[in-house]
Amino acid sequence: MKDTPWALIYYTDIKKTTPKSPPYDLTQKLPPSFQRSENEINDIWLRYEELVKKASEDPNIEIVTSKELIEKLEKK
Amino acid sequence: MKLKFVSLVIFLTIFVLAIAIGIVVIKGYISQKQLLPITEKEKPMAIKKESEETLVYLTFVINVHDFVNLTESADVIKKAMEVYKKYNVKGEFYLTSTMWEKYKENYPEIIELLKDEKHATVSYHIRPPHPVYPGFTSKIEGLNKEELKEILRKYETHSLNLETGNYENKEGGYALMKKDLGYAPPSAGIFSDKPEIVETEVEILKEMGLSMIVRHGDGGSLADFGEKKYGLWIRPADFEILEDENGKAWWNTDKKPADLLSEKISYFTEKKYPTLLRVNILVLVLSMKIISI
Repeated sequence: MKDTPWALIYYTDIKKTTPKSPPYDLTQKLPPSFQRSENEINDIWLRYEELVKKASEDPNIEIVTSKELIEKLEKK
Repeated sequence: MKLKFVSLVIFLTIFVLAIAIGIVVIKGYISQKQLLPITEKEKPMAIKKESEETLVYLTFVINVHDFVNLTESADVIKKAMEVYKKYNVKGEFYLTSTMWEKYKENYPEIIELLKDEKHATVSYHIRPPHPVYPGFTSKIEGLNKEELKEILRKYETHSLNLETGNYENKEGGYALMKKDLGYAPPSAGIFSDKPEIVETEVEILKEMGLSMIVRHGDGGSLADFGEKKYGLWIRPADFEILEDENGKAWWNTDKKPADLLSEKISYFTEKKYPTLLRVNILVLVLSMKIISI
């Protein structure tokens, strides 16, 4: 999807400026034009994988999650 | 004889002075060289030479909250995990408790994938209609501190009804994720415009094991390494690979995030930290919302 898929369930507009009140209609979906094509998705994945590869091969980069960051912060 | 001795003393003094001046000049040259900007070619070696510490800590962040397209969302997690396993790295998935419950019910294999601590850490975040989220706070307005704490604790231990915004008589929230994972999701994105609500929500999650929060505000989610708020660490980040100078996410342009990473790193090494000796820790957070999962 090219935007937040649940936007129209909880807001009156796609930009999410005005929240709706409950009960929320869970059938409200984004128009089909917001769907990405297979080609677009594949291209994004290719670029993403290129990044992961590059980061994993760079000796100056350490890939961490908040779990490891917390350990480093606690040791500091 | 006396004249010869005086000449020898003068010669030795000049010789020693010359050596001393030479050392000072060389030393000065070295320190000046360390301050000069480094070239692309010199950079990798210089970094290794001057600092044994890691230059960049990088986190791959994926926000997961698309309960509307559950199958597609599950596919994105599968694909991301394939990539992380292929390159033997780890990603961090920020899930709403709704997503956790929905995967558990419909795609239990996703729960098993996310439990792979070698390649994934599961963290927590909040989206509508959770009452902490701005614009959805009507159920907790006007409550005193104790009442607020009690009701928010219910939300973090019970399932959220997506249609009414109420909590249900069924286990859910942060507590369920912690129980299933076997560890407390370490970090949480709590977005609210009301400090008393964030403070109370953080208090509850902290009691359950939360250690870190993500900054939300005018300055985006950037924070220094070691910064704290509400007694918790703020997720450190010097930059994000997310949007370009026009505010467009990289996946909505033809830009390569690998190039954006190189640009950002060189900005930090050459401008923010002109001498490599000063570089200790940089943290990068990458957000990816391929199909708003």
